[in-house]
Amino acid sequence: MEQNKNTRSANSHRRTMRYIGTSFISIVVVLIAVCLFSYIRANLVQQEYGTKMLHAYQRLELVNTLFSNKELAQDLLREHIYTQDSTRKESLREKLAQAHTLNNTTIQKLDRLLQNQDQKALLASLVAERKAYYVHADSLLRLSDQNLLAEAQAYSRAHLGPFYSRHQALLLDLSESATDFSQKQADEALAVFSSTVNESVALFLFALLSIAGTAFTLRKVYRNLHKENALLNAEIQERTELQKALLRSQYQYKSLFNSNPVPMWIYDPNTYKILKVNRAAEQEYGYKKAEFLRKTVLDLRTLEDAERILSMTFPLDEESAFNETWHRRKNGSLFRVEVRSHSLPKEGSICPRLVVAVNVEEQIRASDKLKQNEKQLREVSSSIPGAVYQFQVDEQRKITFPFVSEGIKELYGVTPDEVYDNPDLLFEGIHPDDLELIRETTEHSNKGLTPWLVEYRLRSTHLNKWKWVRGHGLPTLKKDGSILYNGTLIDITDQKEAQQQLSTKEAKLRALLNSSPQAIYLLGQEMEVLSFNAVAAAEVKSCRLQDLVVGQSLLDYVDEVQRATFCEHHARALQGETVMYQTGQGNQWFEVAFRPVVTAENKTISVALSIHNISEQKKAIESIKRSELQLSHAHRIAKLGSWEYDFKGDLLTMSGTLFTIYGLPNDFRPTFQNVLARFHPDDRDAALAKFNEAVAAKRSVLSEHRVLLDDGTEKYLHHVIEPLCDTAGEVIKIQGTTQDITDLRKKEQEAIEAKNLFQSTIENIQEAILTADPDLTITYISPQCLKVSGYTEEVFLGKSAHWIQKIHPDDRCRLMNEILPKVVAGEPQQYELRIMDPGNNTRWLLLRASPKQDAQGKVVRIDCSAADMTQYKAAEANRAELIEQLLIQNQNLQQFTYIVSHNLRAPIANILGLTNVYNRKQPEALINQRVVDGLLKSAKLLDTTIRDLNEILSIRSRIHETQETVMFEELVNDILSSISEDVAQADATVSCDFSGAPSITSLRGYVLSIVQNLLINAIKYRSPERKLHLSLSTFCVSDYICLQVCDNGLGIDLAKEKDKIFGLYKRFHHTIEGKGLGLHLVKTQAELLGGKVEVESQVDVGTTFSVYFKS
Amino acid sequence: MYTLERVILIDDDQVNSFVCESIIRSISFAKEVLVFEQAEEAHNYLSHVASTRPDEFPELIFLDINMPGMDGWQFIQEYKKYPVAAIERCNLFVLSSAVDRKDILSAKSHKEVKDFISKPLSPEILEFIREEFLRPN
Repeated sequence: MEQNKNTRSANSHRRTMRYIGTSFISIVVVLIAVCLFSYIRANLVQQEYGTKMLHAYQRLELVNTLFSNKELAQDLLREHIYTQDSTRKESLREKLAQAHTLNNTTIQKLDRLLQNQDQKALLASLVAERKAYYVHADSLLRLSDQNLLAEAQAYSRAHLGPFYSRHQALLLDLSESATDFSQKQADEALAVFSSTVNESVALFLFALLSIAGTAFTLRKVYRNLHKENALLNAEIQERTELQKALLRSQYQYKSLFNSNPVPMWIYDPNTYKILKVNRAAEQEYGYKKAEFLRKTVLDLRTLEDAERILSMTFPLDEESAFNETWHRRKNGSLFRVEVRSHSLPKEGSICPRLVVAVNVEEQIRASDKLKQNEKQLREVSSSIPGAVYQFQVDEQRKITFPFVSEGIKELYGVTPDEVYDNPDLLFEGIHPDDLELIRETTEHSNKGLTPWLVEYRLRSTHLNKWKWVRGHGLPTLKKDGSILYNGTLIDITDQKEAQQQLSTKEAKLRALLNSSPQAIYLLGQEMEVLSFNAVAAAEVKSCRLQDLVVGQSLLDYVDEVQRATFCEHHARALQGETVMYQTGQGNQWFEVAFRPVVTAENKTISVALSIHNISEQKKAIESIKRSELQLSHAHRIAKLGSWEYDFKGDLLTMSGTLFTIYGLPNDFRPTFQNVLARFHPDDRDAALAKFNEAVAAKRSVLSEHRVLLDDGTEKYLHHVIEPLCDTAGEVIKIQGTTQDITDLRKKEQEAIEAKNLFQSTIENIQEAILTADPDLTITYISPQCLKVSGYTEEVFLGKSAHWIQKIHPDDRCRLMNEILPKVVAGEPQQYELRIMDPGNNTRWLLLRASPKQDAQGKVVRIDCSAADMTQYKAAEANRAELIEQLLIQNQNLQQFTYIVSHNLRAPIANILGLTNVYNRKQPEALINQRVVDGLLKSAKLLDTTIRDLNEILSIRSRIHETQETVMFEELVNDILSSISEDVAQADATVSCDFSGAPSITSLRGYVLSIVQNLLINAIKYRSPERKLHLSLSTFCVSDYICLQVCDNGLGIDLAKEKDKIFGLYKRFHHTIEGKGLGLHLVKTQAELLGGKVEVESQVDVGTTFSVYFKS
Repeated sequence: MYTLERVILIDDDQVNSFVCESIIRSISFAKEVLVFEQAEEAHNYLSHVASTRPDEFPELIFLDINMPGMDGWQFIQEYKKYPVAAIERCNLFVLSSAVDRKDILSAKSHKEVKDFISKPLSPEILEFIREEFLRPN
């Protein structure tokens, strides 16, 4: 295999090398071929090019020669012509002949060289020309020879000249053609050269590519080789290792054999000769190695064994074993061995066998000993109460009981053999709650290998009750991973029951202790706390902020100052004395008791300390005392005393306060009679009657009466009399309380008096006082109501719907919607309203309402006062009227002043002006006449005005004249007759109707003036287009008598003139003479009479004046 | 040489008008003096002139207050309605016999009224008017 691999790898290596070699050689060959090829090609091209260039050069040279020859021939000819010398001419002719010859050879050479047809044609024509030329030249020479210079020249010019130029042209063409041709050839050569170069480049590229390809292949090959090399190396390494291992194992086996503690040897089964033996065998059997090698295996056995072995055959490759065979040592002692043998690989002709002989003497002895021990164990364990067991848990959690003592039968009711067969039997009867516990504890012990201890309940089938069993076991971890428990199961039912009883008792005792409200401590000889109850723990916790701990000295929980006392009392208690005392301060009081705890043998073993918090008790007692004190104090203040009257013994006892009330000295001995004697004589019988009523009715009775004291003062007393009955229902005692209510009575009296005073005040003031609820229900109204409103109080008491009817309809709305809501909202209001009294007259009332609010600002009541202000209102109206009149008067006066000042001043101003105009220098001047006229006019006006003023003022003064009855009819007739001229002139008709009011009681002068002015006015302002018609009439209107004067005159535009119509000196018509006084007087007089004037008018229709006289 | 071209007198008092006219003419204060006894007439004339021949609108008007029919106050209200050119050209004076303070204040409250003059008119007053109001600016 290895060799195969090696050969293969060597083969591949060689092959690879061959590949590489071939590749390199082929690359070299290719490169050389390319180089050679390129070189040859280049050479060829060069040669060709050289030839061509040479030819071209020769051609050009020949052409050139032709040129120079031609020129030479020409020159020679010319010289020949011009030379006279015949020698010279001859030499020239020779030279010419030479030139010809040269020319011909040259042309011949050229002809060889030329390949091109065109060039050949050119050359042919040249040759032809030449021939002709030679002819001409000969002719010329001839002429020259004859020294015919002129002819020669002419000939030359005639024939040679054109020839020369043609020759010249042909040569030039030839030369040109030759040059072109060489050029062409050079180009061709160049092209060939460049193609050659290109080819070479292509070849090189090809060569490079093939080299690159080869390099790539090589690289790949190299990699393969590298890999193979690595594999090869690894294989070699491995092989070396194996070799080493082999050597090591051989050594190990050898040493294993030699230093094995078990005796071993190798023998030949054919001859039984011992071939090899180890050191253990030497030691065990006592033979030296050399001795062994001389022995056979049979020598080691007993005689009978040796015979048996001889009869046996050992098949090859088979193991054989003998148990407990006897072997013999060198010293002859026998011992039991366990022999095993098996054949080894064949060595030559011998098939050796390896024998291992183990001395089992010790083992057998130990086994015997073990059996004996086990027997002992069984005997011992069966004598132990309960059961002894071995319990094993293997790694698969399988449980077995390797050993269980006979005791299990009594405990569980099963035999050990049954347990061995079915280990679960021991768990069957266990209480389900405990089973879990057992499992947990076992698990715990398994893990930590800690001792297992558990108490559990077991159902006893024959006793039919639960038995308590304490299981105990010590686990040990065995080498195979299983855990072995050695332990006992002991019946502890009795113990458990006793314990149960004890703990129940203790719990009861503790409950008893804990239920005590006292803190109880049980103290030992050294004052250490042995036990305590819950109260004690709580108290210590709350007072000392630490937990009470058993064993701690009590002194640790006691204040410094109390320690000595505690120690002393404790010591006394230990002497058998019970110590009790109270201690504390402020609100905290305790009752402390140290009691000795005595045994049946009357020996004090400990001290019981009980501390009782009696703060509450103390507090209660104190509060009772305080209450008693307060009660008596209260009695004194309330002037309340108590008494008791014993019927049987006629015994009256009274409290201290009663002595004070009755004004009795402390040593007074009260009896029923002497107390009764102090009752007011007027009330005595009534009081006694009340007393008897209480006795008779056997119920408590209230009584009030006056007493008359020794010093003459009178007091009011209030009694509560309570009869007390015995079991037979007979009244045996009277108990009672008596209160001095004199002050109360006095206050009541004062209140009643104050109320009466208040009442009379209310009833005596002008205003009616009333109160209403917030819902406007009137609850009280003072008797003044009748005077103020004309109604009795009942009319207004009650709901608003009831009394609203009496309010004037115009005021109802505002009162209910505006005024009263504000009052209800807490805002005092004052309002003037009207009511309709029973006579249906309007009465003005001033209502003042003020809401009464409680502490929260809520309106609880409305207090009102209503004052009759009808008269006040009337007076107010009167005053307003007066003021109005005064204002009018004032206005009139102002106007009067104004008019007067104007009307008086106007004529005066005129007079003053006229004096300015007057021409003093020429009195006869025309203007002076006019000035004098003006002066006269002004003076007259002044006079009239003063008269008017006088009239107006006099009219005003006449108001105080006596009034008389004026008949309108009569009056009008008088006036018409006085102004009859005017009436006649105006042609006016007058119609009168005074049936409505034929007469009036008034100032005749005034009425006359009024009517006269109106009539004159009507005539004055009559329409020129109509016949004036005047109609006068009178009628009554409420308080007035109205006189109407109606005309059909010009009329007045009232819209414009209304304000001025009655003004002084107001006129409305320019055309008509007037002073504006008449209507002013009418108005003044009518007003002075307490009336008024009204006017209605329409322009160009007529005017109606209505004069109202107060009737 | 006349100070003014045309002066208008509005007054129902003929005597006063005569006095005024005489004085105006005596000192050649105006070339032409027109007298209206009724304010309506004066108004009719003036409104007509203002609309047709504004250059003939009078340069000075003496107006009485206390007149029947349209009085001085009413005339002033109408006068205010004339074209601005006419009003600017003209000087309106109230000429009254009243010495009432209320009238004077009332007259002067109208900006169109140049001054309140108490009757009788005199050459001194005219001289004052000429000095104060008619001097070309």
